[in-house]
Order: sequence, then C-alpha cells, then structure tokens
Amino acid sequence: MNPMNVREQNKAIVRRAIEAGWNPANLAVIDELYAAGFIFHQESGEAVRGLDFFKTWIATIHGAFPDIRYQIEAMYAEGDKVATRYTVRGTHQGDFRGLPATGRSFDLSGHLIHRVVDGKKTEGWGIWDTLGLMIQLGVIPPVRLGSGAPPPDTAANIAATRRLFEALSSRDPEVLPTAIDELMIPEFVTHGDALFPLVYGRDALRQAIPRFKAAFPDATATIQRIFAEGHKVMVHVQVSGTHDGEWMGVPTTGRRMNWTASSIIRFNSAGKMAERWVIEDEIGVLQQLGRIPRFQGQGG
Amino acid sequence: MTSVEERNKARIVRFYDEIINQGNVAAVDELMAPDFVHYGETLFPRIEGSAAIKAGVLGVINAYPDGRTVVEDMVAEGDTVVCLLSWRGTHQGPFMGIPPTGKVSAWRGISTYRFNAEGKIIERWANMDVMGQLQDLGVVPVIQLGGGQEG
Repeated sequence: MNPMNVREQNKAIVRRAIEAGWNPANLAVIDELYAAGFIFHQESGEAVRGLDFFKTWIATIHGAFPDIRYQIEAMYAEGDKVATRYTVRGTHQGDFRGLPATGRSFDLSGHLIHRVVDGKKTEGWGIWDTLGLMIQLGVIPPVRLGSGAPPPDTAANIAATRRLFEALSSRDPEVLPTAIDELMIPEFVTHGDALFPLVYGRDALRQAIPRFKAAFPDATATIQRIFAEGHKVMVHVQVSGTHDGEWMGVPTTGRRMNWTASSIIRFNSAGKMAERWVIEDEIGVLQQLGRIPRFQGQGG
Repeated sequence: MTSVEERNKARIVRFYDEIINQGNVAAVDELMAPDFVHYGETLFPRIEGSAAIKAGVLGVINAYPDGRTVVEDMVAEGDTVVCLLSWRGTHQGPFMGIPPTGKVSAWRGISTYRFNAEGKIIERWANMDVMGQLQDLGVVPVIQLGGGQEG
C-alpha cells in the first residue's frame, strides 16, 4: 500500500475511535479499533497497558459529563503515527473522580499521538489542558500570572489608526500602500458588509486602492470618534470626495459625496493591525451616485 | 517523507536546541515569522509576535537555567509538524513572580507547529501538562482526584 493511503487509513481509524467510540461511549468500537496490548503513556510519562483502564476512563467521563464531545480540529500522519489536535466540551453533571457535580461546563484543547499497526491502535500519548479543566470546574481559582505578552499600547494603536486614515487622505499614490505595509500584518483580514464582505490579506487590500483613488481622487477621511480598549481600536470616520471616475458601475458624476464608516481594528501584541470589522454607509453612497432612489420618509 | 517535511522537522529540532535550550534568541528571526501566533491553553492562551517569544524564552532561562526540552517524537505532514516534548528544570530564578524554590519540575507536552511558505514557523498550538510545575511553585493547590486517563 502506498504511504499516502496508509496515512489516510490510520487517520480514519483514530477519527472513528473518537467519533464512534469515545463520544457515544461505544465500547464495541473500542474493542474493534484498539489492540488488546494497547499501551497508553500518561501525562506523567508513566505507561499503562491494556484496555481496562481506558474503558474505565470512558465510563468516568460519560458519568461525569454525559454530554461530553471531542471535536477533532486537525489530524496529521507520518509512518505509523497519527497526531490529533482536538477541543472537548462537556457539562459536569455527575461525580468526576471524587468531585461531585458542579453543573459547570468546560471547553478545552488537547493533543493525542497514536501508533496504528494493521488497522489497530497499539500505543498512545495524550496531553490536554487539565489546569483549564480544574479552573473551569471551579476546583481551583483562576491562575493570574504575568504572561510573556506585553500589555496593549492603546496610545500607539490609536496613533497607528490615525496614520492609516491620514494616509487614505493623501494625494501621493505611495503614501497609503506604504502605510498599509508598515501598519498591517500580511494576513490582515477585513470583515466588511454586503457590498465588500471579506478581504483576505494586506496585498489584496493594497491592490484595491487604485480603483478607489481613480473614482475619488480627492478623497479624505476625517476621524470623528476614536477610542481604544484592550487590543482593539474603534474609529468612526467621515469620508468626502468628488466622484471623478467609475464607481459601483456608475460613470463619473462630478458630485461631491459624503459618507460615514465605522471600524473596529484589532492589533496584535506587536502593535500591528491584524483584523478589521467595518460597516460603511453603502446605501448613502449608492443614493448619492443616483444608483438607487431615496426612500419615502428618509431622514437627512 | 517529502523534503519539506524533513526540513520542517530539522527546524523544530533547531528551535528547541538553539532557542529554547541554549537561549539563542537571535535564531528566532531565522526560524520564526515576526507575526507568529501561539494558541495555548489556560496558562498562556495566546501569544502574538516572535518578539514576545524572545522575551518569554529569556524569562524561562533566567528562572530555570538548567531547563532542557527533549523532542521525544515528531509527526510531520505537509506544512505541519506535531511534536511530543518533555521538559525538566530546576527553579533557580524568579518565575512569574515566584522567588526561586530550588525545586525540580518536569512536564510533557504535545505541540503542533505550522510553517509558512518561507519555511518559518507561523503558528503553534500547544498543550503542556504544567499542573505539577505550578503546584511545585505553589501557584496552584495540590488536588488529588481518583485515577483514570484518556487513551
């Protein structure tokens, strides 16, 4: 059998064990997919052999968390090994290793590595967020430690946002692309609205500039409100410009246009823009372009 | 095993030997993308940027100068390497606000590393069994629950 097929078949066995064995507590599936001499290397490094301990574990977690669900997030395979990254959720409705039901729910991450030989799991290694489990069940208080990440510099993030909108207003064609490159991570994602729903990547954003600048060569964006909390900046801008080129299918009208846009910009801990959610007054734009009529009783 | 998978595994070994074990943070720029993101668990849920990694590595080395991570096993497929790790070190400097205790702690972990097109580490999902270490430090109370383990 070619190695690619072995990889996929081994992944399918681990997936079936989790989805058809662990989640519904189906011990027949466990017997089918695990070798009788299965060895599990516990988090301590200590190994246990055989399936009894594992079947007891399945009974324990389903007794404590009847709705427990492991969700596979990613699988990778090489040779006879399969690595699985998962999340697991459940509600504490029964005794868990001596801990009476708390009614609390948990949501955690974990990793597994298995060896699969001739269609059966023969060996396993597992690490999951037991600290998180204990905290989310309320067994131990939340751990507040100085993390390696520096606190957000809200003043710097506001300054970066101001620079972006000043660059948008510049007539120099180099200013905005340079600002985008310097301010944003390459994987910058824009979450927009109905007309411009999603833009992936800094480059795609940069490539869209010439079309906008051709339509509104004198466009300016004036910040009317700006504030920051945590890693996010909220900014409300007034955009003005003369419609001097095709835009949304409408040829040049020469009209002076005004509209507003609100953005939430998320910065990473290095102070780079990572993500933006934006809502723009597209209806106002389309009405000023004469593309759609004004509505009866409309304000303004 | 493709050449990319081999290269990525070699870079994981270098990451742990040179950066984590020897504290050569200059190698961070060579092996990691500046916009690297760590998705962890409760203790360090999210770390963004390779600069934060440099600071973290130096902090751990200061606290555990003899700390060593051993890459026990690796599973590589495509742009991703998953590694099984074990760590052991002696608490000889302040760590997360706790003065040195002289205690030897150890943990095991499994982490997924994704490489970008340039062959630099861009993302990591990490699980580390640090309960014992935090109990050694007195940060977390010692809890004894009945046996059992996932498989």
